[in-house]
Amino acid sequence: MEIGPTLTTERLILRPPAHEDFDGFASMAQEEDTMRFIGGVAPRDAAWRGMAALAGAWALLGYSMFSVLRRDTGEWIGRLGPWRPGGKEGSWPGDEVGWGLKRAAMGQGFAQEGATAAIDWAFDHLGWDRVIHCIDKQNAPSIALALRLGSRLERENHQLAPPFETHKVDIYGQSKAEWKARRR
Amino acid sequence: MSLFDPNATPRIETERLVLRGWRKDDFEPFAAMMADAQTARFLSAEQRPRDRASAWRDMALFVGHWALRGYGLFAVEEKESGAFVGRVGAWRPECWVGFELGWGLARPFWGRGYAREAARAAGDWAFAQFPLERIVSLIHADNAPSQKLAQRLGMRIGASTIHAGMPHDVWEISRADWFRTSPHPAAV
Repeated sequence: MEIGPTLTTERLILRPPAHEDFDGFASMAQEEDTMRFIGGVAPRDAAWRGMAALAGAWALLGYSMFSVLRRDTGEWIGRLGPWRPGGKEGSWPGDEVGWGLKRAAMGQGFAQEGATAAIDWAFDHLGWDRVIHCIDKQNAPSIALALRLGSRLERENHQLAPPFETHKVDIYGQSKAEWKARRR
Repeated sequence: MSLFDPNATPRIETERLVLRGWRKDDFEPFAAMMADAQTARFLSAEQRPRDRASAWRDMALFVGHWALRGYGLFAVEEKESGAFVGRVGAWRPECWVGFELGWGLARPFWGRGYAREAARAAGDWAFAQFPLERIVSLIHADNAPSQKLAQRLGMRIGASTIHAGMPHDVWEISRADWFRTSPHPAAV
């Protein structure tokens, strides 16, 4: 039984997190530079809880972040996709597609390739009108990716709800019409 | 990859309760339960009430635990009213002390024997479904009501440990002792 879809791109497979991904999640959670803007480094037990919450969100909401695997090697390289903890009734600032890859997988266009597939899927299956990305002001690589995806800065210094209440993010985004026009 | 579909969580009926899978609409009563200081004291690592966003992540974690492990904490419902009563069942996130039988009920439902009724049913299910030699319960050293319940379930106090920076005891019971302990529904 699947809790969510499997998407295939030129170089990647996107599917809901599974138990065999845990070593990948746990090792990425130890990468200080990778985790700096996405919650900070975390020990194995916290990494497991984070992965489990992604899987649980799939079951509760029908969407959540995907595990990202390389098609050529099968290797787990990160997680990305639709993210809105609490759903529409929650305090998240909107319908997000977020991304985070482990260090060794950065700089090869994987995040853009995966995020593009995830945004396509979200607009086609989740009834979203807009997509946003919550990004730390100092996270230059992610800001550059948001801009490459066609999103624009919409709101600055948005304060997230607990457990990230000490954290402010800038919100980038675009409408479904804008996305579809660019993808034609 | 093999994931358990949390929608396939078994449904277990006891005399007064139903143990079942989590539904979206469990969130409001679960968030209210975790916002209560007395209830949250021994159910959150910070010993403080949980804000709504954290409570949602807790619930997603419970559901994800089912998906990844194939077992987990059930949502517990009062048969007569349909009200959400709390969460009881199996708990073994990564790095945990063992296969835990855990319980936690919303305060309006304390003092009725519900935790015992649900924990007994969940333990019966766990031992029947999985080849466990024993189950454990990690209980805060000051949590007298849960210590009492563990005793009533036939559990014995084992190793002392520090969990989340606080003193806890690992209560435990073997498979044989679990099924020897009375009153067992099947034996009553």
